[in-house]
Amino acid sequence: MSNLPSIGIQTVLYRQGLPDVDRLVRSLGNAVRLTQRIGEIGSVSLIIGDCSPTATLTLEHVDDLRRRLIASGIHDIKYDYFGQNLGSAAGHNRLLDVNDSRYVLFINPDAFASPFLLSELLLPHHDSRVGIVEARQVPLEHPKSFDPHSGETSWASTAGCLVRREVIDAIGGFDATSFFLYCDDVDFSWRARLAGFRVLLQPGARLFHDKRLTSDGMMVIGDAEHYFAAEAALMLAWKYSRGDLVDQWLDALSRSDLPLQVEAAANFVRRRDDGSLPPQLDPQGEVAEFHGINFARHRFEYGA
Amino acid sequence: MPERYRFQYQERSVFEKAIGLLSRLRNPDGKVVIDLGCGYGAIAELVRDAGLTYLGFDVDAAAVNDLRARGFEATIADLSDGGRAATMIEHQLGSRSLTAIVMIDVLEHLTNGAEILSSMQRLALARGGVPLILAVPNITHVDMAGKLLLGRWDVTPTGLVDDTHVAFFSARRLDWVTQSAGWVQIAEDDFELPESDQHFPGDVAVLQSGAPLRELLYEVRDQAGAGVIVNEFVRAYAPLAVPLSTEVADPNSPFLSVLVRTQAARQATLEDTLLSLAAQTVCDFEVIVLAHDVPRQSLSDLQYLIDAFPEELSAQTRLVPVDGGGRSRPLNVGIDLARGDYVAILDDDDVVFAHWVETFREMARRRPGRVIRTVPAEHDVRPATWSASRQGYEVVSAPRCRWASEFDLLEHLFENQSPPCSWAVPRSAFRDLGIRFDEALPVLEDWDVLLRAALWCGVADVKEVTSIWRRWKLGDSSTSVHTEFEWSHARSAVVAKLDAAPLLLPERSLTALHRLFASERQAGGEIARLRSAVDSLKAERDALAIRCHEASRELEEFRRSTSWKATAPLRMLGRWARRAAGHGH
Repeated sequence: MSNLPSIGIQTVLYRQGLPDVDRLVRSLGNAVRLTQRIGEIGSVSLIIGDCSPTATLTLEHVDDLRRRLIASGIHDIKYDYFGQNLGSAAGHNRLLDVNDSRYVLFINPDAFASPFLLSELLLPHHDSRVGIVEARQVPLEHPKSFDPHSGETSWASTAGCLVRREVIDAIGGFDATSFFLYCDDVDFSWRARLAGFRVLLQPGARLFHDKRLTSDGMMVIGDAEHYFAAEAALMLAWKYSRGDLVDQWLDALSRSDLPLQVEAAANFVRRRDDGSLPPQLDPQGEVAEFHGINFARHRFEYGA
Repeated sequence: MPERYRFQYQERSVFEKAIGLLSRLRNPDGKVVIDLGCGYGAIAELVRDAGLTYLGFDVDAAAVNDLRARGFEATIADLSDGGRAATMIEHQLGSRSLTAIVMIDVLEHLTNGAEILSSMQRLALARGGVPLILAVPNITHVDMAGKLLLGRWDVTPTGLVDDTHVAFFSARRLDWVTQSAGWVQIAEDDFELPESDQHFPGDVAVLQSGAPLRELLYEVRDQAGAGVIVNEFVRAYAPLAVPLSTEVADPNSPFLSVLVRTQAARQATLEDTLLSLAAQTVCDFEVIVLAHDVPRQSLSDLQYLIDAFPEELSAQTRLVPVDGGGRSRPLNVGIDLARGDYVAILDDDDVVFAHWVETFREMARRRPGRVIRTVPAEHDVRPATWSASRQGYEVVSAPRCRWASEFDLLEHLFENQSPPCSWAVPRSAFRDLGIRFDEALPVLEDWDVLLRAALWCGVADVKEVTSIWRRWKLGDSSTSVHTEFEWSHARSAVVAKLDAAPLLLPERSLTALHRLFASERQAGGEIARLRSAVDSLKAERDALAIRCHEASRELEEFRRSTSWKATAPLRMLGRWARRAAGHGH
């Protein structure tokens, strides 16, 4: 058996088209081929979960992908159509159940891996204290700050990051009970840091993330983001023992002009009242960072 | 042959130029000059005087007889029957050595010109590779362009539109015909006439030098290709054993050619650029990476980087080293290599969104032939050192859209509002209109090309941000590398070039100009009103100053007066009384 690290790549689809899947898979196959050629990784599998209302891939599509990917060095491909919208956290957890690789690559379905993505993400993992290494997103970088030299950062986005198996063993998967779509990765990162792992951003590891800007330079966001981002922020503040922020944000959200934000605040209050919120962590604020409504210091703000 | 074709040899004529090429390029081992379609043989005496043997062929008996009467060897030959004519020529030439073949004003009279050229090519090859000297009228003379604009086709007894012409030639057509027949051009000495025989009637603006319509037409025609005032193409060709392939439309040409200019100094951003191209939603493009003044070792690194990308990108990407010149040189090299319908430009620190190519393609389908302009965004970056001491960079601002979201030509004429990554130009603007990046410009070469293409092709706007231009807050960039003088000088040069010819403004420009003039007048009126108000205030201030000065003087005089001094004790008592009253409250 090879001593080279195995990698299980997992992605969760939601309403992506076949061309998007094809684009992602093409880039992954290329990155795997290159990284295997230089002898840095062993076996690689790809697991695709699907939260879409109807299945994105047919059996024929999966067979076709399998044929193409075997030539690239991805020895196995699994496709799991969930039949419901589990959200990213629960979706990834379901895939983690069948992913036993030494490293797990979480990647967004609207992404495109650079040829050197895997080798770059693996580099910092030579230090066993490193738990999560995040890729730098192109063309729109995440604004959170990081140390350009060490890569140290508050949390890692699961749009593209490589996680050591030990992290998952230590903290389990994502907190899907508390987080549906957003901040599941912030929570995951902070729990990893509480467990003693370092979280880094590796700027040389590039990931094209298909984001767009409006003609006045604002990030294009969907309606759902207003709800889920508000819900996730409240949940994160609660979970990381920042009752003061919960009160402030509830007050602001309940008076918002956006009905979805008002609804998010109301749902949070309902859960608090019925005692279904998660247990609180990090009472001393050792890892959690709250800067305004951000969870890391930001170098800039989109749309500012 | 009608007497109208009895041309005499003249200096500064087509004949002189043909004889010049003949003298320079003939096979020195041969003696015989074949003058095919010789007419009355205007060059016969010149050939004989050069110690060569003249051999004329023409269908017109009178012309042939005239030549014979002058002591020259001439034969009646009907060139409309190519095979027979070739046999006759071979027969007449016999075993004598050939030095050149001349065809002056012949090809345009033949419906089987290609056949004749082919048979002459075979003869020339068989007889030591002798050259062909060819002269044909240029139907694309600027006078013809003007006449066609007026809807005129004036047939004349001789000249560009001779009533016996059955074939018409542009420079490109002539190239195609000769190449197809196995000839390659080796020299040219075209005969120019600023005013051709078609320069009539004399009172139409389109023919009159200095008239805006004529100047614009001249500018377009001149930039589009050689021959604006060429009356006749006079060219020399050599026969090729293996004919050159003639240009044919490439059925597999992509929609877009992306020219990526790099000096291999920014590997970190170049990788981002290529990644963003690899991630495009459509693959209908090619990439030409123009490595400008890049050392050989860095070329290998660049090729390695390109090859690392998926085949969909790497197989469509060419690495082209370019040495010398300024910022324009690599772009001109790229244009010459481009195969796409459109051409777009990226620098090695630009990055594009996934729908960059798709957006250009969609708009090109809706409004073909236009410059396509999207909304530019920019953000600030600065150099940074990444782990393992790698040179990287850091984004330090959010994207901004500080430039106009709609293309405004008048505004662009004043100042560029569109970095190159935000637009694509139809390749025909380069190929057919002859637009090039000006290699004399150290900077602003993109502005120059954008304006020229926009003025002539028009612009189709897409209100989508599809790319990000990076502004370096530290480190080298065109802003920091080039001096203020270079920027200012380049700007003046661009303006001067556009000023040299009439501008073709798009629809609604007059309204925009009206608005500009109206606001200028309004601003002028407001300035005048404010100046007047300032003047009044100044006058008031001056008057007050004078009053103040006079009052001071009067006060001083009063204080010095005896009565003022005498009443001093009383004023002191008054002050005390007022103070005491104040304390009482």
